[in-house]
Amino acid sequence: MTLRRLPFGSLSLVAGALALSGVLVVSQCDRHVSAGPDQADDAAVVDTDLLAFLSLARAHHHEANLDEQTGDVAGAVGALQRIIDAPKPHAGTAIPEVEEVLADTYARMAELRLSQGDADGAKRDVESGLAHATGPTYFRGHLLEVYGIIEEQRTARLADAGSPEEAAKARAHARELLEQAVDIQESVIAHVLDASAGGDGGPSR
Amino acid sequence: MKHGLAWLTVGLVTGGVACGGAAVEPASAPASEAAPSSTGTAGAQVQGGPQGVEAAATAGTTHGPAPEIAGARGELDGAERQVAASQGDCAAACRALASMERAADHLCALAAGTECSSARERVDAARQRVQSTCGACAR
Repeated sequence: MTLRRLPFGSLSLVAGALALSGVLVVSQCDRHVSAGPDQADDAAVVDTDLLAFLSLARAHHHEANLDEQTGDVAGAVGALQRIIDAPKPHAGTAIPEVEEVLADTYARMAELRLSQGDADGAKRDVESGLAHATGPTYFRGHLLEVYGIIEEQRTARLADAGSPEEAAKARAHARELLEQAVDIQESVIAHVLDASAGGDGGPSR
Repeated sequence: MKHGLAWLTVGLVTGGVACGGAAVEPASAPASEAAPSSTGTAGAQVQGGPQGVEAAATAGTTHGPAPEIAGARGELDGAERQVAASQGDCAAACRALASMERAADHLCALAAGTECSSARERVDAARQRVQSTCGACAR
C-alpha cells in the first residue's frame, strides 16, 4: 500500500468533517439562543472553546498537508498527534463535533502510518478512532474501511511468510470489515439523501 | 486536498454566518452593498438582495420593518439554510460514496464472485442515487 493507493481524498474527508462541525455549531448556536440568560452565557463559553479546538485542528491538518507535500510523513503524523493531545473542550463530555474530528484524525494518521509500512501503528490508530465513532456514521465507516485495508495488507504479508491459515483468518477479517464499511456508507448515503429530500434539516453525518 | 480546504471554508463560513445572524450576501450583486439598510443592527442585514427588498427596507419607518419585509427576510433566511443544508448533505453523500467505492474495490481484491458483484451493484446504485440528487461528485 502506498500513498497513491490510499485515496488522499482523506484530506478532503477530514476537512469535510471539520466543515460539518462548523455546520453543527450552527445548531448549537440555535439551541443556545433558546436557553435562559445564564445558560446562554455558559453556552457561549462552550462554543468559544469548541471553535478554538476546531480551529486548532484545522491548523494542524494544514500543517500535516504541508509536511506531506514535502514527503515528511512523520512530521504529518506528529502534527495530527497534536490534535489528539490537545485539551478538549468541555472535558469529560463527549461532544459530537470533537468526537468526529478525533475519529477522522485517527483515520488519517492510520493511513499515513500504513503508507510507511507501520501496520501495527495504523491498527492502533484505527482502534482508537473507532472508540470515538460508535454509531453508524461516515466516520465509523471510513475507519472500518481503513481497518479492512490494514487487514488486507496483513493477509498478503502472512501469505508471503508461509502462514496460509493465519492469512486466511486475516482475509476473512478484512472482508468482514470492508463489508461493514460498505454497509455503513450505504446507510449514510440513504440517510443523508432521505433527510435532504424530506427537508428536515437534521445533521447529516 | 483543495476540495477539502474548500469544504472546510464552506463549513466554517456557514457556521459563522448562521451564528452571526443572517447576513445574506449574494456574490453577484455587490453594488447594492452601498445601500444602507434601515435595520442594520437587527441581525438581518440583507446585502445585495432584490432591489424591491432594498427599496422597501430603506423606505421603512423608524418603528421597525414592515411585516412584509420581515417576512421576506425570513424567506431569505430559510432559503439560505436550505441551500447550506443541501450543500452539506451532498458533500456528506459524496464522501460516503467515495469511502464505499474504496471499500468495495478492496473487497473485490480479496473476494471475487457474488460477494464482489453484490458490493459493486450496491455501489452503482448508491452512485446513481447521489448523482440524481447532487450531480457528479468532485474527485
